Amino acid sequence: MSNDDIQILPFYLVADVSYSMQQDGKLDTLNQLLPQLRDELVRNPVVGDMVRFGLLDFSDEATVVLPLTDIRSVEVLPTLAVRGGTSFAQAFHALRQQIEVDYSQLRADGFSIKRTTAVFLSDGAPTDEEMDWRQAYAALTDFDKESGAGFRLFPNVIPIGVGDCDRAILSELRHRKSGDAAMPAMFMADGGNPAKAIAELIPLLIRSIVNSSLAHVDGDGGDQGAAAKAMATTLASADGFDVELD
Amino acid sequence: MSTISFGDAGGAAAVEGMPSMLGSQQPDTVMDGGEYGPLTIRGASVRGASHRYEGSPRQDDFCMAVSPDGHWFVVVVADGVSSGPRSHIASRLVVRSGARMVADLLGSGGLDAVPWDEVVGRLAGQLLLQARKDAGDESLDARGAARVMATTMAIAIVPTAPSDMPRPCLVMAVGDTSVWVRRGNGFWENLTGVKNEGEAVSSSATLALPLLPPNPVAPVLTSVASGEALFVLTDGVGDALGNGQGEVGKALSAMWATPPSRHEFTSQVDFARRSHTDDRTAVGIWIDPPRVDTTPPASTSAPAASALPTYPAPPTSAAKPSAPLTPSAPAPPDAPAPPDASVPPDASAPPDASAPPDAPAQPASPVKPAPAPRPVAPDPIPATGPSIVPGAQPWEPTPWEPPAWNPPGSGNV
Repeated sequence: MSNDDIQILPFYLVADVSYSMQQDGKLDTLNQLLPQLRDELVRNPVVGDMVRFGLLDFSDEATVVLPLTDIRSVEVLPTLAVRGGTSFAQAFHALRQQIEVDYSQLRADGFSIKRTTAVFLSDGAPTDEEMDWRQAYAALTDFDKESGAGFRLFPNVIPIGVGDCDRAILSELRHRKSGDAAMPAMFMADGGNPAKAIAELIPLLIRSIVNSSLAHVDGDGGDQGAAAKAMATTLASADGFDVELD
Repeated sequence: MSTISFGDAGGAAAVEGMPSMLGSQQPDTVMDGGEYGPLTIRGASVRGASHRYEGSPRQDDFCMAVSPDGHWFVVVVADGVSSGPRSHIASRLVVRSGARMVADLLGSGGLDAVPWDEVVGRLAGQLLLQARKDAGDESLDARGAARVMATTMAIAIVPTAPSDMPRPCLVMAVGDTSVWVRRGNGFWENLTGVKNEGEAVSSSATLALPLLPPNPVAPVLTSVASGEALFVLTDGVGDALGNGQGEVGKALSAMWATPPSRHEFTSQVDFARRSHTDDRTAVGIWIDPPRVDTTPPASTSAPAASALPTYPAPPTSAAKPSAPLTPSAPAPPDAPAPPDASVPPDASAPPDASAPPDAPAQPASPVKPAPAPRPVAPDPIPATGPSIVPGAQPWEPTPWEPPAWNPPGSGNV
């Protein structure tokens, strides 16, 4: 049986589990996210059929909590626990590695794979050296289409800041930052619901993928089309969120 | 809900969804079909599970026409892109206006008479004007207009003369709407290029009018023999076909070896398959398929002559496309010209100036309207590719499509 026409949207949540996440119910919110997302994907099979969800957490080091999977079929979803500091570099390294692993598996299964989306959720600022995390970020996101240099499977990155995060640094993590596939950054006050935001975000991504989208001949070939603007508009109307999109 | 599935149907196959509540007619499914000379035609455009789930309108559309001299059958298929909230109008405009424009051009001199760059430019110009009108913004450029409405387009032209030889068919595509031939051995041949071939990450991005292709439009000429069939497909079908050798390709090749009934064809186009939830459109043209003879016996009282279908004259050698485009042009047999072939061209208004494009292209009367002359193009075809043709006629919205502008988020997106 061939699957080469069946399309998969890889979607990762990369979540900060440094000690500060324990305050103000942030971790509880995070742990409610997966069940809510699963319910949403069960409710909407058009989206559920296409999304594969993966979960990584990070503090001083990063771990793969859930490799890419159809979470509708996961009965007991993992929960996260806090530990240690906030190494962005470890998170970026681990994400890049996992994207390659999951991509190889999906490819071996014969699927047609869409551009990965990664939501990067943090309540703080990196505790590692600036040069380290910037290098790791570049290794995750840099790609030159002409020469093929860099990471061809680079993800589109949507940062979500919660609590007392460093907004300036998180904004910098948006990828891509311009063009039709520009991604927004979102900031949430304590008590906000990132599950709701992510549950609204995934269908927007899928819609831009399922239905034909527009490539501007003179643009950077945005494979998410006008999704970014739609996301920003939708998310801006979500309670408790500020959305930045240049 | 789909009744036919290929392989893994996915959960979306069970989606009942909502009708598209636009307040104007854009039904879930449109279906057409019939015979024209040696051709048997089936056309279906169906909403995908995604639009059904959201209750949003079908953005695909198709339209068929015959050149005024009856020598050419024209199919135009379009796929409005989802980033434009009015893209269902774009695809509707392009198929209707495009089919009419190309049919008229063919009537004035065969395949060589079609200036493809100008056709694309005129359609882009019409889209631009329509988008400005819908958006209420006269300053929109093509890029801005594409945010309001944009559409891909593919055109196929098939000669209508009976022939024992393979027929020269001309196809042209802007964007990822594709044209395929089901060859006599059952294999699919994609005439317009396989999307995302060799790419690590697949993309749904496509070129769409009113944005213009960067290079001159290059139609593709192919030969289609008796027993073979030509298909114009939006990516909702084309992506599932892939290289034509997968599960969907094999299933559709088997189902479409000969023309199914209109309803069968429509439910086959509406197949369920995991992750394939885009709108789907397919128009198939079978050449000389096996047919049941439905000619009434001579002894029965014949219907009035005016009620009998009259096929226009098959192409004569005078109308035969000239050498550069036709490597294997068949020598059509002589046939008596029907009355309408001798009607002199009506030198009145150009085709776009009066009737809206949704007026019936095929009048019920067997006497065809006189072909209107196409507007003379004073400028030579630009060597650098199509450009928006100034002075293109705006498309007048019909009474059932109020020109209201629905901003994104207002519910009709």
